[in-house]
Amino acid sequence: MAETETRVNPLREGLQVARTPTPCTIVIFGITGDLANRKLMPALYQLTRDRFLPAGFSVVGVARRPKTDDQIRDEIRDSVGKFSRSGEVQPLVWDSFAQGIYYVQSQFPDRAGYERLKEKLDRIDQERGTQGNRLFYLATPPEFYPVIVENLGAVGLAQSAGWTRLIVEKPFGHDLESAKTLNTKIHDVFHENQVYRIDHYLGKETVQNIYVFRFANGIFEPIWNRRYIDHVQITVAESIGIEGRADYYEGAGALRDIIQNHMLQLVAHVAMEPPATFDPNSVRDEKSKVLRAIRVLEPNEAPQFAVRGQYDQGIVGSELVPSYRQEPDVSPTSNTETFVALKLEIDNWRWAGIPFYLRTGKRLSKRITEIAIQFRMPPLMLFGRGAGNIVDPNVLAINVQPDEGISLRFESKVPGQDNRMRPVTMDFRYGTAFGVPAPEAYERLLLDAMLGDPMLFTRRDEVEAQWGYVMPILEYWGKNQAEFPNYRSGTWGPEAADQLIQRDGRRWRRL
Amino acid sequence: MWAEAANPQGLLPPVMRACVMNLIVYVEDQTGVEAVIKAAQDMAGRHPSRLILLHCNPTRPASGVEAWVSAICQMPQPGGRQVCCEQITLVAHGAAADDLHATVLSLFSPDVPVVLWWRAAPDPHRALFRELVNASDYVILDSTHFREPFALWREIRRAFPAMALSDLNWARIRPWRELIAQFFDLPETRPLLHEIEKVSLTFSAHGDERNPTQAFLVAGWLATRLDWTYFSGRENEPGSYDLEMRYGDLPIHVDIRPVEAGSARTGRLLGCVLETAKPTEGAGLSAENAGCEFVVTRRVKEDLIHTRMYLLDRGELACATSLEVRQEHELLMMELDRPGRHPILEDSLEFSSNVLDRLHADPEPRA
Repeated sequence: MAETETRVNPLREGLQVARTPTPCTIVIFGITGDLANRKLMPALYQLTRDRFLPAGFSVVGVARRPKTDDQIRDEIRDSVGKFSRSGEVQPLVWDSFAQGIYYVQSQFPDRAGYERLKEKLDRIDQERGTQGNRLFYLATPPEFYPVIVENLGAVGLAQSAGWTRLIVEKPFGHDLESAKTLNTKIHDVFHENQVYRIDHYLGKETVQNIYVFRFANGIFEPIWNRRYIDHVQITVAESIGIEGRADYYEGAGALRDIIQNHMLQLVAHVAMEPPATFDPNSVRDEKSKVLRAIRVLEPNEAPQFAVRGQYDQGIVGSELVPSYRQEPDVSPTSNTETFVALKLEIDNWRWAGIPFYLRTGKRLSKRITEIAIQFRMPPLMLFGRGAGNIVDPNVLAINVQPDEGISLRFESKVPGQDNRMRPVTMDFRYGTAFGVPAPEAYERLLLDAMLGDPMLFTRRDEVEAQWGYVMPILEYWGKNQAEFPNYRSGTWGPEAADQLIQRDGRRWRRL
Repeated sequence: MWAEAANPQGLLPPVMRACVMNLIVYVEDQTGVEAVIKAAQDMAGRHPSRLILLHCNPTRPASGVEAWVSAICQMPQPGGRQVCCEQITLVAHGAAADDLHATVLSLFSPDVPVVLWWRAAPDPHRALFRELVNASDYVILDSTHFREPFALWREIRRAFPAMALSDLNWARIRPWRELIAQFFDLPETRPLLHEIEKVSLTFSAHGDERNPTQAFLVAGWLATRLDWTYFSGRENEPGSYDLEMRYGDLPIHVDIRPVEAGSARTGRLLGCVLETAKPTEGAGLSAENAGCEFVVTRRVKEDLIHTRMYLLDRGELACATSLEVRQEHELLMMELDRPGRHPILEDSLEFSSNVLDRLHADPEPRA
């Protein structure tokens, strides 16, 4: 049969799912960890349940403690029951799914463990028809990434008769140098087109919708620039604390944890130029271009453009919560920031002179992620300047979570004899607000990785550009102790964050 | 109604009025009215619509037209807004029903599509049906309600050649199509598509109630996707068929059989087995892959589909996956997610109509 004929499955035409992945094995390093149990395995089960994965799909978990295949299956079943989107485990579906779950015990530096892994994968290829298709998922603490990649290369697992891919979780490096080093180590073994760096925000429906919103509607792009936009505010606020993750967070802080990856990706989505085509590299080229156009600060400019904070005890919801320094395993003199506010500028023709204000923090007043584009005021006020005629600027707000959707605020006349005005909001809310559950981000991302679609994953140059931006700020903060804590839990962060934006005659949105 | 909901005193969060389409629904009985109202409430989140509900029974004595307006609101999530849309109900029976189309046209919300859900057996000769179809962008029917589904579909298609039509029965068999297609996503099994020599389809029946529509939809789908032509066939007994197809010179036998299925609703697909040819000398088939079997089955009491693939050189690979037994409104939502023409559905219907026409015109002797 001609090659072109075998490439297309005629039965797929018209089906919602253009194709399912070829049978493959996902090898999850760190199978007993939080990420695997709360996100990855529930997502894979859900994909199986929803008929997105083929028969023969397999999982090999790798971790340090000795376990049998049955033991790991039982543990995963418990996790899936607690954390999967469908909320329950269907016994027969589970039995079918669990048949393809295996375990290999190994210390991550132990070469012999990788030889055992290779044997297992070869056996799975024979028994379950996975044809050498392998996805290696690094769900371990990041210090193990280099040794795992090196060992995969050493035993010949980076290449196979099928396809092989590598998924790397954030944080990708601890700073620019370590990110570059990690990239180099990975590229010693894997080609860039085999590497999928996860930023799970990119798997969210609303974030993906930014592309559609900007580029499928003719009315927004002409005003999406410095002539009409006054500034952009992006807020990623959490009301929770560090939830027992001091061992990670103490070494990270809000700048590394949220700004360097999620928020700069949101900036890229909002600020990028339209791509020539909607293929992964064209889109990522445009994101990389705008990330490189962000003005990199000198370290001594950090105080002018960046504010950090650390939460003190306070009331969140109706609960008194401890300060960051009182959290388990946090140093009582910790200098780690749990809040960051930034003023960022993009030096290109579209955005020159337009500030992007970013803020993120833990133990803030509420959980919300929002991108707000505030437009310039009209050039002329025609309707008088009385007390009833204070005009608010138009704001387009993209709410990523929890209340996913888009709203536009504009002025409208108050019914009556005079020309008083008031702001009104036109809303469009997504499925989750409407009671229809959206797929979990990891379901989409895992499926895309298996399908070989890197659109929703970050590329080497993006990651390095993002690190390049935050490095001067990290450098300054590393050398200068902060006066922490400086904001109460349940508020919107330190006063200095308000001053950062008020200096420019603006203010943070009240969310 | 909306002025009150706007809550001018500001004591409660204002409602959010949403409308992405005009949804005209035609029903002929009170049970249908209740089912539609419930469906609209369930759908309000994903497809908030101006619902124009027509409760008409042409066989009842003529009546005047009664009408009323209400709001369908979905309970908000904590911190969210209440989303509401409008329901306009028109009740008219007998001859009065046939004049309703003018009233309906005047009730459309502008700038949004019009979708007609005819929740009864359609009559393409009836004025109300014709006028509403012509006023709509998308028409959704359900061949479960049809007595002679393929003949009726053909008549509807001829009367409305440009209309975007869909069938909820087609939505019901989507999981089957996905799973059958999945077998052949593999490069090694794809060539076997043109080595299929037998297809066995079973569907649920209760005594004399035998509706093979879903089975024929699958058969028509396979035939049109794989370029099969109909050669001959016979109806052994009501609902039971043996059909001979051809792919070039290669014969393909398709059998469709009813299975007594207890509590399962009648007409539901229960099994699909695709078999490739056994190796024969000089047949020119791929010897290492010949004799393969691809099976999709549903056990009546489970909401699960089981798939089984048997390849000669590898043995058996089985999987169980979930089959969502969709409520009617969920099927409707699936169709509303992808409005527009469905050429593959139309091809399948046309193929099956032709097969049945030829079968009835020139039947083979019964076995």
